[in-house]
Amino acid sequence: MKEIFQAVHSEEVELFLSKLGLNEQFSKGDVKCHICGDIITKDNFRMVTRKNNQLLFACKKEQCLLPLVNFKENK
Amino acid sequence: MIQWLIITFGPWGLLILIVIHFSRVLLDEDKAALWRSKFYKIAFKLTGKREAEKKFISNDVKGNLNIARRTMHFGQSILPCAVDVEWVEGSKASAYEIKEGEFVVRLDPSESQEKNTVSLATILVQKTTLTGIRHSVNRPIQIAIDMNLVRNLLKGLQNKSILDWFLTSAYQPAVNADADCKKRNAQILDIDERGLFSRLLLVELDEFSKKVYGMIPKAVMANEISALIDFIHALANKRAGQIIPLEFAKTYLRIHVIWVAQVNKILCSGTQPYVDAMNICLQNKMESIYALVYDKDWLGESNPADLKKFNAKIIDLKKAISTQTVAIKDFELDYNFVDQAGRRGRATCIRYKAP
Repeated sequence: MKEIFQAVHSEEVELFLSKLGLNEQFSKGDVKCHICGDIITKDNFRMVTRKNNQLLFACKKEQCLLPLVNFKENK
Repeated sequence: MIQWLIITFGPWGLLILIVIHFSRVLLDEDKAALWRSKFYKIAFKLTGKREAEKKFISNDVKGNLNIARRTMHFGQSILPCAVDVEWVEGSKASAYEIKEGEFVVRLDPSESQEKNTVSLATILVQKTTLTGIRHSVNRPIQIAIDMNLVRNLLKGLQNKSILDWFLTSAYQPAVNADADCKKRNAQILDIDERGLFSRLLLVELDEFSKKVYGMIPKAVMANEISALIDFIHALANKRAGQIIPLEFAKTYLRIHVIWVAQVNKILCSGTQPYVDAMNICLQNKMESIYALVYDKDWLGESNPADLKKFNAKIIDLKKAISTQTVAIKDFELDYNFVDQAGRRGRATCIRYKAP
């Protein structure tokens, strides 16, 4: 069994967010890190997942990445 | 064999060897990924194309991590999951839907490959360990277990720059966040140095997760895991002759450790006291019984006859346990450890289960 991760190249973050249909929210600064609340930019975007039908973003801070991976269990 | 092939077949022998080598690489998915990564790295350097760079990044990360995880012992198996990386592709116009539970991770350009490897190693460990019991594990214990598993995984890569990057940017800030994190991390480090982290602690946490599967988290579960770590830490720091509890009998786990370390004891009393101890453990409804046997190779210089007798007694003991008790052998692992004084040693961890 394999754990498959989808990846986005750092140069293609903007394109990826537009594919998610979040262009407008992204440019307005409405997309925020689910852990620390910082505005997600193309430079600090680190990870996104869907939990309970909600898109959750994490910024590049190490302390934000780990809680998001196990967000379901930790909430 | 190599010499024989070359002498017998000349240059054709060399060709046969090369074909055998490449067939073995191709049959091993992870080694093949590493070779592909080398090819794409050259292609990227020559063409500068992002597609080649992406293929280098994904093949290099997955090949390295999957090979490194093979060296990690987790009872009989290794970390439950191998890793694979797929790029989110498609044109600008096509929409992308993230599925429930799916992770999309940003990976940096190939010059930051250390960072990419550390990111994926960290997420992999977080996703595939402590499954089903994270809610019962206190945060400082979670951090200590996760961070030390990532450290062990990255150590297996044998790439100092990746390990250095991880230790300074992720490990140190996480394990030194507060006094509790520091304390639990120091315990896990001791347990890991004595070789009991992946061979005892993770195995029992896995057992614990099976027992509490589907249950509502309770304080008693978190307390039991904290107590388990304290128990194994006391075992890890046991000095010769020191009396410490060798039994951990709580709500969910029932563990006993049989310590086989004293040469005089087994040579004078034979294997029977250990067999009796195993039978008493089974009568007392212990579910996991570990025999920790410490090598006495140092004895070879001063008293080779006693060393020979000791090794023979260990073989007798294993036979006696299998014939005079109903315990079922789960696994037997030889390992290296570092003791409290920093001396290296070898030991064997044998796990028996109650029928």
